Amino acid sequence: MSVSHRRATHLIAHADAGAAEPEPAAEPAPESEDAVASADAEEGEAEAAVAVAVAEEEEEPAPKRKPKFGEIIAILNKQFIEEAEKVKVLPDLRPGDIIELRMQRPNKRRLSLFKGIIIAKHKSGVHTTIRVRRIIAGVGVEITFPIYSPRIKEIKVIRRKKVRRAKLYYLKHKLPRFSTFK
Amino acid sequence: MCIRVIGAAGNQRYARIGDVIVAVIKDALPQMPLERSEVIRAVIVRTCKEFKCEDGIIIRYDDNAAVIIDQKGNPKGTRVFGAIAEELRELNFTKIVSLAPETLFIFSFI
Repeated sequence: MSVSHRRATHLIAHADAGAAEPEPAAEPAPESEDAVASADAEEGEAEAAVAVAVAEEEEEPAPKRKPKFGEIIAILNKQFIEEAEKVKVLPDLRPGDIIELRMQRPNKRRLSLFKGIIIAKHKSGVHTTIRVRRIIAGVGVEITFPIYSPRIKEIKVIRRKKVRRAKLYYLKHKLPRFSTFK
Repeated sequence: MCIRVIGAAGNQRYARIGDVIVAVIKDALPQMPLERSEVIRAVIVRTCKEFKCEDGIIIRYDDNAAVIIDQKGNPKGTRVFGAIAEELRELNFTKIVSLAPETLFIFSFI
């Protein structure tokens, strides 16, 4: 079919050099792929391969829709998260978990240890963060960690506390003993 | 009470963790070496306002705290209470960090 042949050459050109060949304005579909692939090519070869892989997947079973420009972030997020998960395995984290977190200190070999209860989890792709609270030396401390950061080496869930909220901001107004963990 | 942030640009309004401030004592316990309405220098060690680091880590304490220092940066007192970030060591406040009962090593200042 001439349509699939043209689309295949289009993709090969993108995979090679990232140079976008201007397609005739007859079909809006390759143009959106143009924008998709050229935007990816600016970021690097891996991203161009993603666009190629996605488009190729869709080609085989009779393509229904192309990846829109707004879906690139979702594709990239999934890729970054997969790369981060290869290095470390993250358990299922929820508010109310009492966790132990090990983080890399710059220029030092030993890992620092942080304990506390998760009071909030903000999900936004690769910048998913958890907010951990603990009383340290009589002072309450809340630290927000991006969990897919390469500086965080290990997260371990020690206990689960039963909570009926998604965000436990009420803990800072409660007695200190509710935020104290040995 | 804070009067001035030392070393701040003209448009910097607020001090953050690690900044040295000029302050005046509003309330003091009796029989202490420092008295009310004395002008002193202090370094801020904990703030209720979040401190954002470049790698995405945000730290927030439950109280505001400062340590009174002299002109050279050595603490005037002999004890320090509460958690102190070890990053103050890089700003030449090593004595304060060594007096702290517990230190947190999380982030790096710019």
